[in-house]
Amino acid sequence: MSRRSVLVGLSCLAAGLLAGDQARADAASSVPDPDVHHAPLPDTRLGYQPAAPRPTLAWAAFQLVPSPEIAVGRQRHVGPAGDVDAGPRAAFGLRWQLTPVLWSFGVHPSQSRWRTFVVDPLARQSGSIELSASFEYIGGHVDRVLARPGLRVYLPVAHKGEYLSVSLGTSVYAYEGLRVAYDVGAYILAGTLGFQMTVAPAHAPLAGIATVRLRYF
Amino acid sequence: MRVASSLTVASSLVAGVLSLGACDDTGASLKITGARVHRAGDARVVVEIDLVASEGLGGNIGTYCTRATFAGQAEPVEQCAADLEDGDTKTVRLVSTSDRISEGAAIAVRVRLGNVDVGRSLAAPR
Repeated sequence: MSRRSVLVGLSCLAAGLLAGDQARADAASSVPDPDVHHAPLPDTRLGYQPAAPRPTLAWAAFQLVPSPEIAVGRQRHVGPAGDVDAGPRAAFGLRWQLTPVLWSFGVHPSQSRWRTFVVDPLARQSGSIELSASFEYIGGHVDRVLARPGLRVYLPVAHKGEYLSVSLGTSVYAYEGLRVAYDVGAYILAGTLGFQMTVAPAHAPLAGIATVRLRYF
Repeated sequence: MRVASSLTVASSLVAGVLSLGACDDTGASLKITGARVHRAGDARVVVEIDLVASEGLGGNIGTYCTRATFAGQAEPVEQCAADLEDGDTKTVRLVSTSDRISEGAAIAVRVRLGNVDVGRSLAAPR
């Protein structure tokens, strides 16, 4: 008898526990579920594509804006009677510039360092080396169109070149033979406005050219 | 490290820039840019030749000679000088010694610098 009564007692206890769990479950179901948003997993089929600026009509229009310049040089003229006119001469000119290739060492490492034709101002002025090409017409005693392929380095001075940057470069041009010129420049406003001085020590008619450089992209 | 690499790049460029100076074309040349002919009051023929000199390093081009050969005159007229530097222009005037050069007679103008000889052909005026 005692064994039976023990079994009955355990059965009752188990039934009571089960009833308690059911009651708690009923109470829990009455609380609303929190509003959980599950973000989808990233689509691994997509990759990061760095921006690659391409020439546009607006860019081309900006390239057509010329930079005014003054060329100063000496061109001696010996007259038929032996009279010599040796005064310095100045001539007004206009210059257009292109950048076929530029390698920037100032941009963030996650970005491409290379630019072709379209160059964002930060990439150029924050420190870069460019293969440059400029075309200019100089009137007066020069009166000709010159094409100058060259090489130029830009170095930032203040605020990664946005406030102030400088440049040093060289170029060659054909003018009664092949000539070499050197240039230095200083730029403000992220490089949109600058002053360049081009000198050709071994070419008297174009000994110095002062250019107000206007450039954007 | 990054600044050092930038400076290295910049210094390499400067070295390249300076070495480009050695690429200057040092050749001297003399070109004829114009030639005119007229007859003076004493019937002699006057030839004026416009020259432009170039020298890659900006110096003197050396001795050059300008010669005019008139048909109907035995000896040509020649003038030599060494007064031109890079970029200089000069107008050389050569006058025939004969006053009997007929209208339309050929005049050969030659300019010689070193072993380079350039020329123009003209005709005597009335």
